[in-house]
Amino acid sequence: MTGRSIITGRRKRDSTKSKVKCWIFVFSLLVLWSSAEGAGTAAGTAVSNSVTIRFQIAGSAATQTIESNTDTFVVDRVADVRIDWMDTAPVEAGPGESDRVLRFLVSNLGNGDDNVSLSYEHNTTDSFSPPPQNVRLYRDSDGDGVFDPSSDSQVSLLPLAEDANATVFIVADIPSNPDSNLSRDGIRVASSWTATAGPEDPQAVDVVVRRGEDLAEGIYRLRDYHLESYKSATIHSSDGQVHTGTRITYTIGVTLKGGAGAIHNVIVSDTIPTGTEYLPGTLTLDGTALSDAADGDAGSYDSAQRLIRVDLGTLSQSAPGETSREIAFEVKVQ
Amino acid sequence: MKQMTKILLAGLLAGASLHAESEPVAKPETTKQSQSPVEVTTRSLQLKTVKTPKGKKVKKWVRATEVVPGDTVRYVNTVRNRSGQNIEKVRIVNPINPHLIYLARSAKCAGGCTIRFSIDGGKHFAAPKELFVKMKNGKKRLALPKEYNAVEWVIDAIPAGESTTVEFKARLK
Repeated sequence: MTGRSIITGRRKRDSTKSKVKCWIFVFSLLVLWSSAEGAGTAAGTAVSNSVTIRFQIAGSAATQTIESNTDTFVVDRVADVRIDWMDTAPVEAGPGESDRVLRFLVSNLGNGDDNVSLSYEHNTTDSFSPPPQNVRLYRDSDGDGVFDPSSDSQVSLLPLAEDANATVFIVADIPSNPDSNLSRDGIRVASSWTATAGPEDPQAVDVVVRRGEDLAEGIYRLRDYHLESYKSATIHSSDGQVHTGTRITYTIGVTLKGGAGAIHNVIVSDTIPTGTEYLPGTLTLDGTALSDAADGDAGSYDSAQRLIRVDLGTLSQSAPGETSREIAFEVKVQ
Repeated sequence: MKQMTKILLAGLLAGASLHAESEPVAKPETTKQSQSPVEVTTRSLQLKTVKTPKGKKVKKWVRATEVVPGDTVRYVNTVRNRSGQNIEKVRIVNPINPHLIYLARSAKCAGGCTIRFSIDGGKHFAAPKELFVKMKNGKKRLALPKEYNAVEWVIDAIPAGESTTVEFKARLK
């Protein structure tokens, strides 16, 4: 008579996500404003200047007009690439976890197209930092700001038009035995353009490298809190043995342990053991009765699937310690 | 136009007067520099670090050959009065290229002059304190230097045989 408990939880900070989305929105507006305001004059544009002068010869009432020469220079190409880490806080990661994501924005601030190369910058002094073989770089191909392996594509060379930008992700598998709490790794970007050598010509498009390379680092923070659970059974019989008709109370405990943090959407599912039947109206959460129907409260019993389901929502604590919830229900041996 | 023709005939080379006579209808109002006793030249400069013969690095305004967005360009216009007479009521107009943004308080002249600006492509000029933009709500505000699209320098006189310079700075968009 064993039961199977399934505890699911999504480790994320909803409020943080909202803030991140907000900042992404604000940043996007700023980038758009910046692009609209500061789109540099395109390389190769001829910029001319000439002057008109009007005057009178002393003693004459006639006005003469003459024009100057036309001075022209051609706008040179400027290479200017930039990368920024876009997560607003260190990204939590547990030892051995897969596909942990850091988000970056790569911008071409030059006045022409650029093929920006990307390379992972590994911090070798830190065993928490994912080694290069554990890291993939992805472009946010669908532009939603969220990593999705089915729609985003791995990338090492990023074509960017003038004043364009793109989100890229570090997707890493976290080492199993880190000996520090924070990692610091990043992406180095480099322009495909190199400065023109030789004499300068006002009529030729030379290449000027303003910022040929840039580096941004992101941080993983070792998650120091986790969920633990247990399940126990209390047999209600005078001899302590299980007989037909004996009631058994099952208790499932779920505890958030460790440092400050939150785990969201924690759902406990438990299948009623074979050879027993659920006793209606016995489901409780922290001693408070829950209805068996799938209604407004956190619990329900699905008789077709013989499944107890309790939605614990968010387990959180603002200081290191333990935060527990306890579910109980009764069955009768058939 | 008749007055100009008289001046050309009286004071300039024979070739110029022949040109004026042979094509009276198409005669341009603007005189070519080679035909005029007055010459005006414009040069674009940029500030660069250069090495002196002794190897010392100094910043110097040099011919603008390597200009990228955000760079400052200095335009220096030189007027030479090569005639034997003074020239008066000298008005120098420099339209600002649309790819450039005028830099505030950068317009200067070597001697005394009046500097005015235009925000309508040179149709009207006024001092900065008298240059207004009409807003959508009907109110007016002072024009911003970045909205200027032409500069005008007015000089009372340039003596015979002398020259003067006027200048301004702008940033490449």
